[in-house]
Amino acid sequence: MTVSNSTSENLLEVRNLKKYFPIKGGLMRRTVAQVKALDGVSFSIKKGETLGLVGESGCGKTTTGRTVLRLIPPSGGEVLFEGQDVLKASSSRMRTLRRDMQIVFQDPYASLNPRIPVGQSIAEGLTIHNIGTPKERLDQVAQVLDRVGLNSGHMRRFPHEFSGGQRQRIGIARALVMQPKLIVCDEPVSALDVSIQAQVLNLLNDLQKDLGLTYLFIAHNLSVVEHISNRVGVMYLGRMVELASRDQLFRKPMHPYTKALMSAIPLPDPTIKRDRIILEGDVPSPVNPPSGCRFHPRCWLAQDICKHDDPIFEEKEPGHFVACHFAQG
Amino acid sequence: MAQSDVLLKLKGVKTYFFTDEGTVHAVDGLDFQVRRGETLGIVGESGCGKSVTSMSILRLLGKTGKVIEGEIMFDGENLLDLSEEEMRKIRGNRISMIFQQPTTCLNPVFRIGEQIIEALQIHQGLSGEEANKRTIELLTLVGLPDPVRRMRSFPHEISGGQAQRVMIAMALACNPELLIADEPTTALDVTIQAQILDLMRELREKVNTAIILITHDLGVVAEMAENVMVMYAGKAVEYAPVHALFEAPKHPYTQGLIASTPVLGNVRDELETIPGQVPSLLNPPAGCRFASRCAHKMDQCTQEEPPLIKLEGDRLVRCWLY
Amino acid sequence: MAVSTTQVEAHEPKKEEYERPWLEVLKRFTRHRFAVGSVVVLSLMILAVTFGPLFMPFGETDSAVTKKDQPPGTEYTLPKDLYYNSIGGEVRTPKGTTLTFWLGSDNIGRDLLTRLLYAGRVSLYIAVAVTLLSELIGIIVGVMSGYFGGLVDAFAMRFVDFLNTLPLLPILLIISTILEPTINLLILILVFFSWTGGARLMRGQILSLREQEYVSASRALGASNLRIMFRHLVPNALAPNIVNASLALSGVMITEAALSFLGFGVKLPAASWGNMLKGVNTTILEKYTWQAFFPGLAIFICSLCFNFIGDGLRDALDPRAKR
Repeated sequence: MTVSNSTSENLLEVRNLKKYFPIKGGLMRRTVAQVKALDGVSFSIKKGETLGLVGESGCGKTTTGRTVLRLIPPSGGEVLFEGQDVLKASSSRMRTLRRDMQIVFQDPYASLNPRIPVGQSIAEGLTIHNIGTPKERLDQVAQVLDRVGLNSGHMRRFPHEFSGGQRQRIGIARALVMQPKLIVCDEPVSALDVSIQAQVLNLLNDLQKDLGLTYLFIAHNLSVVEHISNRVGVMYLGRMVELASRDQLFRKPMHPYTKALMSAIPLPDPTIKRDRIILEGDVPSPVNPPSGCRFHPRCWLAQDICKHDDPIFEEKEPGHFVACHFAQG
Repeated sequence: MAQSDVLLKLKGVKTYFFTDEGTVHAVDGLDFQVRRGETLGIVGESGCGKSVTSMSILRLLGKTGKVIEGEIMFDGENLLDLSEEEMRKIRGNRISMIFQQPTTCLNPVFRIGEQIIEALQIHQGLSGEEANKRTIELLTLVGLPDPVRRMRSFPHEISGGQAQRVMIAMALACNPELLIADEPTTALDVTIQAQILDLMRELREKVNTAIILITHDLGVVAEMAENVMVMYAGKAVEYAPVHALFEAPKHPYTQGLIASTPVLGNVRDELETIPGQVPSLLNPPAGCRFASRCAHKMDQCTQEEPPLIKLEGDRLVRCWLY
Repeated sequence: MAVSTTQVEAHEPKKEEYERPWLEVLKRFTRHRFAVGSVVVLSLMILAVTFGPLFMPFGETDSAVTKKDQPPGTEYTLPKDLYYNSIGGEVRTPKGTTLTFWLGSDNIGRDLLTRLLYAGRVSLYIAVAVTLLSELIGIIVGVMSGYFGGLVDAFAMRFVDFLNTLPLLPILLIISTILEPTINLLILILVFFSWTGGARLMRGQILSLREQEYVSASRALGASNLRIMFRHLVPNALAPNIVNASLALSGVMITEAALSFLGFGVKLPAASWGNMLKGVNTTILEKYTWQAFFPGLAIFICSLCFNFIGDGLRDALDPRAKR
């Protein structure tokens, strides 16, 4: 495998990724408008690290995860996995790539086929790729179940016999059994109760330490992202607005949206009284995103320039990228 | 505190659901009270009975559920003794409720204004003209931009945050004495949640309604409530003023809950966890329901259910450690 | 409202219980008492129509001209000088024997019970064949249509619409003038007109199910479209089609009856439950009630059994089913 210099450290590189969903209308079902779910997003993930993606609904974080795995076709851009373009891979190449790139879903209830015993669900990837004999597959499933804190006796059970947290463990086991290099975690804990959420987060952390996994961790909960990530990207309306190491981002956020997001989170400590930044209005529609900086209609720092000029996503401090005309620490 | 101060008082309330699989002990002996103007937070994880509690108060349990024991005294009257007709007069009038999914609580085929006006005409007997005026007032109060035009919108034309504002306006339409908010911000984005919480705080000052705030989010409780009740598997396990609770949680479950929540700006290598899972409410275990997951379990815990033990500073805790 | 989560730790199943999932399906099916009862009744009926005629003294078309419209239980002594067999059956019974029309005789003196048994063969065969074939076609078309969407869907569904606008009876009339109507041709024609319901049902189910995350999960594992459609989607979408099929079975019987009534179905003198009802009118209903009652009862019992079995199957195939 030829690996160019720039990507030697990066397991995944995403460049200028775009996804437009057409809105069809009229008699001829022509495309009348486009939802710009992703509009030029770039980031990279190093081997063994966790990149967190945060943002509110409609910011494109989930679309990013699915497009990277080619579960939905992109409208433009490049996704390089170990230096190879995933988006241009042939279907046979894609099959092998899929073994290295797995996904864990948000809803542990919807992500398991209710009519298939969980052992078979977990083994599905092995079956599809013809890995091992049926007996070996069984052993692997048993191992991986054990690894996620369940046991092989659970193999013949159906999903409805498990609690939410257990199902999420099964979802993780299904990804894990393929021995992937990258796992996209799409809101893996947001459907779970707090005490169960902590169990799953710890499990994900342990697995990363033991197996050297790389995560793209997508979530709307900043506290969870802060807990699990090495670096964090903040998205707003299909764009990345800030990307930095966890400490840089949470100690010294530079984009006003990041600041607002952080101050909006209610803290479980009644003694802290903060000056809260309350944003006006709602997130605008991604069909007609605002001109210039997409955040300007809700931004308290906005000037004329923000309405006209789209700020460049640039490195304001080493390793700290921000897209804002008035970014400041 | 004076007796008349107490607006709502639950005594030994048990709500069971009778299903094909058996009897679900959803709420199993609950006592608490809410004073006028007070904000009580009820926290707990899914299945702890917090929503069933609110449905029991409003007597909206559906066919399978029933309050089988206890009394729910609202302003000196036991709600369980009222006829369905009398109860209807209380719902949406003296006690109103806001829900988690605001968009599904609005009827999609009627304009927003019409739905509030209807509530006003039914409960307060206002004329069309008066109701119209009051609706504009209410929508302005909840900070809906351009209320006169928004009244003519259909529910699908407004965002989730705006829909929750409309729901709040509707809930406040009849100046209720008690507002039950069941996960009012769970379905909303963080920045919108901040707007709604801000609005609720502001309204609390203005209208002096007592609020029962039901949520799973410790952050929301810490910010909004004066007193907090923690529920686990159909029981209240701890009751305390909000500052005291977060400063020194007493019940092992509360302690675990707080320790397992990741907190912004306070990164730990490993989150504390509560091992295991919530027991089935079909056959709740004897003794303390938390015993199987508790690090401080003693022999006594699995044999005998601990009572609510009174501690200093208006606190109650259901645990044999105290 | 969260009512309960089943505790996995609560009871470990016995080993054999989870070694064979079909055993589980069977177990769930047997909990459905009516369904089990229906299987018994239907099996008895199938046995009866398959082997029963062998033991009947009368042939399917044998008629006793002197014994028209006799009520159930009428005795009939074979005349000395006359074959009772007027249309071409074989003489199997010595003359002078006394036979009984257990269910009475019809308007030309044929034994009703015998005809009922012969008719059952034809009617059950038609009903089962038409239903299975049309559900099979419907499921395949529906899955493709719902899963691929776009042009495939548009084309398939417009074709379904087109078929639904075609009037069945005039077309059968035309066909029967061109082709010699055989039972298999009748089956093909009925299938051609009746697969559309199943297709629509399946398509609707697939449309909602294909957005489920387990489909994405499977795709992320590299699963092919065929695998996703037939391993993940169809089993989850099958319930409405099973119910539909059980209703369709009785529907086909009644359609066949109606067609026979109009003379396009099973041609006389061969019997079907449908054409035994042919020519039923108020006189028959008042005077010779048994001639309409028994074929009607047979259709009714079969329909009922099929419906119960459909219910039972639907529940048995769902591992989430309660109890």
